[in-house]
Amino acid sequence: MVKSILKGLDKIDVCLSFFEKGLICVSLSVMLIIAILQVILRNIFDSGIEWGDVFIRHMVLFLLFFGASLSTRNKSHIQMDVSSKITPQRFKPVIFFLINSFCILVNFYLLKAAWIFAGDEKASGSILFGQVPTWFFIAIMPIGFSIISFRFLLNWIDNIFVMLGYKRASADDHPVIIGA
Amino acid sequence: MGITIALSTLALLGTPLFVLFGASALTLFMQAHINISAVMIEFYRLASAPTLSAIPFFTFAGFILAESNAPKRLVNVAKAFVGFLPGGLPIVTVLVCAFFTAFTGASGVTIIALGGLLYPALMKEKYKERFSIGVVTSCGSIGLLLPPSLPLILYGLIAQVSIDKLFIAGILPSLLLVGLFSIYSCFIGVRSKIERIPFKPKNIWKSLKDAKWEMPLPIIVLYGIYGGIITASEAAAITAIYAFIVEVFIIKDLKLKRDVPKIMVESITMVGGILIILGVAMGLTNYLVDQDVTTQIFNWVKPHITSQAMFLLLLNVFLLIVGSLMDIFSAIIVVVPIIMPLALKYGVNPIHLGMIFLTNLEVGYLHPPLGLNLFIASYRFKKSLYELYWATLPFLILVIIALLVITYVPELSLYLIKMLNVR
Repeated sequence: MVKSILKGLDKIDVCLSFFEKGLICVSLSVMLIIAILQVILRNIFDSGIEWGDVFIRHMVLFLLFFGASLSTRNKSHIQMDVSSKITPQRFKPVIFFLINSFCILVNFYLLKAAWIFAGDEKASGSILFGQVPTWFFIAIMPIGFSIISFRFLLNWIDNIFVMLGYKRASADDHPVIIGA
Repeated sequence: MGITIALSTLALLGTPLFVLFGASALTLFMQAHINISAVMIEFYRLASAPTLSAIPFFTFAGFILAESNAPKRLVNVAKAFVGFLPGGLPIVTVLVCAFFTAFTGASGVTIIALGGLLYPALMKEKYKERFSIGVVTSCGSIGLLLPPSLPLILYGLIAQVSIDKLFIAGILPSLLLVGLFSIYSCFIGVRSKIERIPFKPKNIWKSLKDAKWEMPLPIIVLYGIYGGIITASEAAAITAIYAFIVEVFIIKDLKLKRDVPKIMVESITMVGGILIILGVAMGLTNYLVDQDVTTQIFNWVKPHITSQAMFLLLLNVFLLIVGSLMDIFSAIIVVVPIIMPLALKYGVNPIHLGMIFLTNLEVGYLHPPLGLNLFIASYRFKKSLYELYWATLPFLILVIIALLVITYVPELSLYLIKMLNVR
C-alpha cells in the first residue's frame, strides 16, 4: 500500500520535473535567440523585433517560477541557515513538518493573490504587444504558485513518510549545494 | 507583535525567505485593508525592469564556464604571468577566482569549481594546509564587485542606480582587495620559503593560445556596454551565447545533449530561487516605503548620529550583522530599499553605498559563525568549521581593512566614473 503510494508520488514528481526542466531549456534558448537577433538587427540592419524586449522580460517570469519550483524540489531555497546547522538530526523531521505546513499555507495565499491579479488583468483586456493580451503572460504567476504549492505539499507528504520510516526514491536525488 | 515573533522564529528555523517575505507582505496588506492582489501587482513590476534578463543570461554563462575546462586554462594563463613571483600560486588563485566570481556571482560555484583544482596544487607546492584552505575559501567571493557580477546587477536594479556606472565603480575597490590578498600571499610565499617557479616567456604564449577564446570575455562585456553598442542585458545574452558556442562547438569541453540542458537547469534553479525572493519582496518593500518607514527611522536616529562618518561606521556594523545572518541576495533585496533613502539624507552617494554594501556582504561570506563560504568549503574540503574559522581569519582581516578604505575613501569608487565620464 505504502509502496504503491510512494511509487505514484515518484511518478508525479519525475514527470513534473521533466516538464519544468524542459520548459526552462526551451524558454532560455528562445530568449537567448531573440536577444541576439535584436542585437544583430539593430546594429547591422537598423531595425529590430518590436515586441522582442517585452517578450524577453516576461519570459524571465517563466524562468523565475520554474526555477523556484525546482528549488522547492531540491530544498535549496535561500533561507537563514541558523537552525539547520545546529539542530540535532532527530528534531529535523518535526521542524521540516512545521516549516512545510507554513509554506503550503503562505503559498496558497500567494496563489490566491496571483489568481485575483490575473483575473483583474484579463477583465481589463489590456494588450501587451500585437494581439497578445497581458493576462496571457501574467497567467504564469498563478500557474507558478500552484506548482510551487504542489511541490511544498509533496515535500510535506515526503516528510510524513520520513517520520514513519519510509523514503521515496527520487525525493532527494538532487542535492544542490550551489547557492545558499 | 505576535506575528513578528512567529515569523522570526520561523525564519530562524529555516523557512525559505520568499515564504517569509510573502507572509509579511500579505499580512501587512490585509491589515491595511488593501486587496492581497497588490502583492502580485508589485511582483509583476519585475517584468518592466530592463536589466532583469541580464541575471539569468550572465548566470548561465558563468555556469557554462565553470563546468568546462576554462578554469584550468585560465589558471595556466595566470601561472605563466605571475607564477614566478613569491607566493605565485596563491596569487594565481586570487586572480582566477576574481574572474570567476565576477561571472558566477560568488555563489559557491567558484569554490566548488576552482577549489578542487587549486587546493591540491597549493598543497603540492608545500604551502601550509591552513593557508591553502584559507586562500581558496576566501577567494570564493573576491570578484563580487567586478562586472558583471550578479550582486552588482541586483543592487542596481533595486537601488535604481545605473548598472553601467556600478560596473565601472567596482573596478578600483576590487583591485584594492585583489592587491591586499596578493601582497599577503607574497609575504607568506617568502616566509614559508616556497620554491619559486622560473619565469618562462614561452609559457605565456602557450597558455594564452590555449585560453584565446575565454580571455576576450571581459573585454566583450565592457567594450560592448561602454562603447554604447549594446545594453547590459544584451551584453549578457552575447556572453551566454559566446560561452555556449566556444565551450560546446569550438573547444568541445561540453556536450550539447549531455551537459547543456543540465547547466541550463542548474543555473536557472539558482536564479529562480533568488528572483522569487525579489518578486515577493517588491510588495513588502513598497509597503514599507509607502509607510515612510525610513523617515521614521531617520527621525529616531538623527539625534544620535550626527555625522556622515558616524553613519557609515554604524552602517557597516549593521550590514556585518545582516551579512552574517542572511545571504547576499536577500540582504540586498530587503535592506537596500530601507537604507538607501537614509544614506541619501546623510549625503552618501548611491554608487558608493553600493560598494560599501557589497563589500560588507563579502565580509559576511567569511564571517564566523555563519559565513556561507565557510560552509561550502567545509563541505567541499571535508574540514571542520572550526578549522576554517582559523584558516580564513587573516583574509577576513584583509577584507575588513579594504572595507574601511572603501567606506571612508569614496573617490576609490567614484574616481573612474568621473574620469571616464560614464552616464
